Amino acid sequence: MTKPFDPVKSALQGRDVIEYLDTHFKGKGRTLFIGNVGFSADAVFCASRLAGVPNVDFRFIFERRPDVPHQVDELAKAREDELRQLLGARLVIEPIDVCASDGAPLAGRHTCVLTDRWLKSAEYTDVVVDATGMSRSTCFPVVKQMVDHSRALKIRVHLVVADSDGNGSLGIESVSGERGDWIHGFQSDIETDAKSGALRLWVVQLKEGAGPVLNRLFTDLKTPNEVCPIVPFPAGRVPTRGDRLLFDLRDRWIDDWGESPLSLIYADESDPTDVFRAIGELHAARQDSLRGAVDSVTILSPLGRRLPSIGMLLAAQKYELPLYYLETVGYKVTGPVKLACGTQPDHLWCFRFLPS
Amino acid sequence: MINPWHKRANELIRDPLALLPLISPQPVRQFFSGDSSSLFDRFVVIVGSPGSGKTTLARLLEFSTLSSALDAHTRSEVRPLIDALNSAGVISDLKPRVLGVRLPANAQYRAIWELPYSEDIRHKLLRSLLQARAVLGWLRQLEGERVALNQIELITTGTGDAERTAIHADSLDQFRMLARETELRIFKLLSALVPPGEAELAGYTSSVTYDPLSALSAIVIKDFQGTGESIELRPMLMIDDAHELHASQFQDLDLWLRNREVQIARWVLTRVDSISPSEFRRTQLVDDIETPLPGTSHGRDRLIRTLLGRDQNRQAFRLVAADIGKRYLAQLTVFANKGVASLADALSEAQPSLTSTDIKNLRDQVGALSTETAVSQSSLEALDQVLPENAPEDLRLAVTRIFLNREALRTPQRSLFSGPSADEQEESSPKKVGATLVNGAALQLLHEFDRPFYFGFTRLADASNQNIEQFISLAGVLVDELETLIVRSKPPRLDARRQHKLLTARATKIMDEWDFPYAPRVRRLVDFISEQCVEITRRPNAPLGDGANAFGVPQDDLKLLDQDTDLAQVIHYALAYQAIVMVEEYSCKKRQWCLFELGGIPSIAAGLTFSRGGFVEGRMSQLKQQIDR
Repeated sequence: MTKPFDPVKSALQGRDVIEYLDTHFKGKGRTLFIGNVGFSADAVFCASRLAGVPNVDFRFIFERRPDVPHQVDELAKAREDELRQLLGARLVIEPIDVCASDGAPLAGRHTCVLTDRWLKSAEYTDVVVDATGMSRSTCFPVVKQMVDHSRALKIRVHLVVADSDGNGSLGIESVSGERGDWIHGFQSDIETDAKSGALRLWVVQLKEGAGPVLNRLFTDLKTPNEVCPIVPFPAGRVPTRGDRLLFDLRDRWIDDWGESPLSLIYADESDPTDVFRAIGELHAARQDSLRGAVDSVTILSPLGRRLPSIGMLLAAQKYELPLYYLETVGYKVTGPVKLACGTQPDHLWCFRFLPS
Repeated sequence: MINPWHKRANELIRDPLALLPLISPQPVRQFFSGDSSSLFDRFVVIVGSPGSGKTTLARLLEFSTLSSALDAHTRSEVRPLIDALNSAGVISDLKPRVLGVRLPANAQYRAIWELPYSEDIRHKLLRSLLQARAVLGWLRQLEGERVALNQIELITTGTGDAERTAIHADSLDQFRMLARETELRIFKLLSALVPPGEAELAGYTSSVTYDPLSALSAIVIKDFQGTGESIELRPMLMIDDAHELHASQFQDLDLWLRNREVQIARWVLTRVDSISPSEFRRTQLVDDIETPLPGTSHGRDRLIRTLLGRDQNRQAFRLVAADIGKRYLAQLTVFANKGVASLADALSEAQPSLTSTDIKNLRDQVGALSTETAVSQSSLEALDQVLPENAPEDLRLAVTRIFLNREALRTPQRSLFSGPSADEQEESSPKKVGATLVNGAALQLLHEFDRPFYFGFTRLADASNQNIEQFISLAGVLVDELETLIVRSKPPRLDARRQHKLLTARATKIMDEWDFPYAPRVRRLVDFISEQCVEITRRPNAPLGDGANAFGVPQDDLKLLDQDTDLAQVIHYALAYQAIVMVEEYSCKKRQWCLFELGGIPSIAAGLTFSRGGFVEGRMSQLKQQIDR
């Protein structure tokens, strides 16, 4: 019996991803590319590498949010034009409402219906999910859905993500919704009676200015018994970012959550596999130590930068962990906004889920 | 040890025993005042803003909290609460009488609305899930208090056996199993990445017809706590945060729970915005809320109760705030050791004073104005007589300056070379100077000379918008400072300047951290109203006394909200998060107005009064212009 293909151990990064995108899909069966019309320059990079491959169908989601300033709308429009120029008539864009008019998060549910339709519209051998510009509540369910299909339909799924340290969205800050929710498909059975007595360990990314959001999540999760904040280290262009986050958010992790520095998880913010490993080790150690005594659940909350979140997705996928998230419902413009030029992203990753 | 001033919500405190000493009996007494039995025999909707105490109330009535309270009934800090619960009929003879469970209506319930099924099926699924979780919650609560399943007997309403059989009322194991199966089936529908179509729901028939609540009337616990006695409990379902449900779900819930055949106690706790927009706005008028009206179907089927809404009389909240302050301070050993029991004692009310240079400056202005307006010395002395006795010189001068500016506006323009005419020599002396004008003068000194205004316990309580969480958040920063003083062996007392500085910094920080839908545009709205109000507050003649803290539009302008959903959404979130308070049908100058009054936090940040009624006249279109992108 062959060992199942491990998407983390076989992960590609940097130049290898470019080479893979440039060569793997040529002359292969039909490929479905699922992306999102974002406003950062990185959002078009992966699509641009595959633009020259004729057997790729480009399907893009446009995430509609209720409160988006016109400057951000204009950026997204410019990116859309860029994609049209690049992909021509092969580009299909379908809008998805991120939340309902009453503020309820919808993105995951509605996207899965859409991507299910896309997948069934032709016989695909490969699916590329580009997580670069996608909201986590959109991207994560799609990845799960495609991985589930990969087993049944023998499809190869490629999760790609590009990210830059100065990610091109300077001057734009996200505004959170007021309703947290389990990311669709990652509810696990945590809300059921069977898990009502389980100890809750919450692993959460820290992010600048996230005090109120962290408070909301913590309350929604019924005050988890333990919290392990993920601190970025090494941290991109600002090596002291982790220390600054810990200082700025000290009211939360020290006072509200009652944690000590022993609970902190330090993980490389440019390496999703680092976060994946840290969560895996933590989860396994906890399961081992509590086995037979009390039930335990590890809950993940992606919040800050995208790459560590991808590590969370990989861990949630592998260990069937629940993901709790607070959706971005809008943006605020805090400085001059301009369209960043498309250069090569600082970080590129590709995770492959191959049917066994 | 937990520092409750740092816990921004009681929801963060998991242990009922840690929570109990922090719950003030005052709002509990207030809530249950009158005939409290009607709160348990019909559908009750409890409305309040975030932080007004809805969840705390629901947690208090949960069986586990009541049991902890009864276990700790001899503790002095819990005894007044036991007394309040006794008066409410929630406990009697030191035994619980209700078996409450709180179900937060989180996004999972709302997600049922997104399933691709007919409205009827979606409503049934919601009802079934709520009932399954209520049943499971009740049994968990009982087991948590060491009640075994074989001690429990279910009392049903029906006369026949069919209802008992349908819900397995005679076998607690099966009764629970059925609830678990129902929960799990609906959960599977919700967690399916792409849910099955309606045609594939054949296996879910029992899940959409699960209805134990219509059959259940009471739960009897035999041999309660090993006493040999049986107690009868009224099952109680409390659906918290119901504003997170879809409007249609909320309507269906309303229809279902109004049914008098349902005999359990049933409450829905919600932010005001779950009611229709017009009802939502109406609830801002505190007296407009439904009260139990005998003979009317509204009162018979449903009660709507507010939690410490906007009340003209702030005295009640000041008492609650004082009690909470006492309870929270008692939790901190450092204060107990120092004998500091009341926050009011630690917050100096002594009037601050300007520097001698600033006072001279003010004196010169008053001198120049009195010459210009030819107000006699005797009139000035008469004015001085009617000022509050303890008012310091700077405040007296500021009031006099307002008075002289008013006088200057009344005095006709004179020729540059002519003196005042004989009939202008004397102006009418003021009969008395009210607190409003003194506050107006103090606010002008705040803006002009940075003289502290926000100090003393009363202003701290008034700044809290009758919201307990807001009070804790504002007071917390003062408590931290007091703790530092104690640790440094200094007297635990904050002067006016320190209080003012800390409170304004906290208010600004809270606003900077606003992170809710439409927050940037709510901020623009608040900034616009603040600017307008500051301008009128600073006018030399103080036309509104202590100025304004509201923007008033003609009542008819509100029609714009029905036509403009974008504007309505921004206003909606501004109200929900207490950035503003809406006061409709306010009569002034023989017209009806709608006031958009700034909340306590924005008022502090802008340096405005907490008094109500002072407003800047404008139009709805101006507000729209400000929030448009």
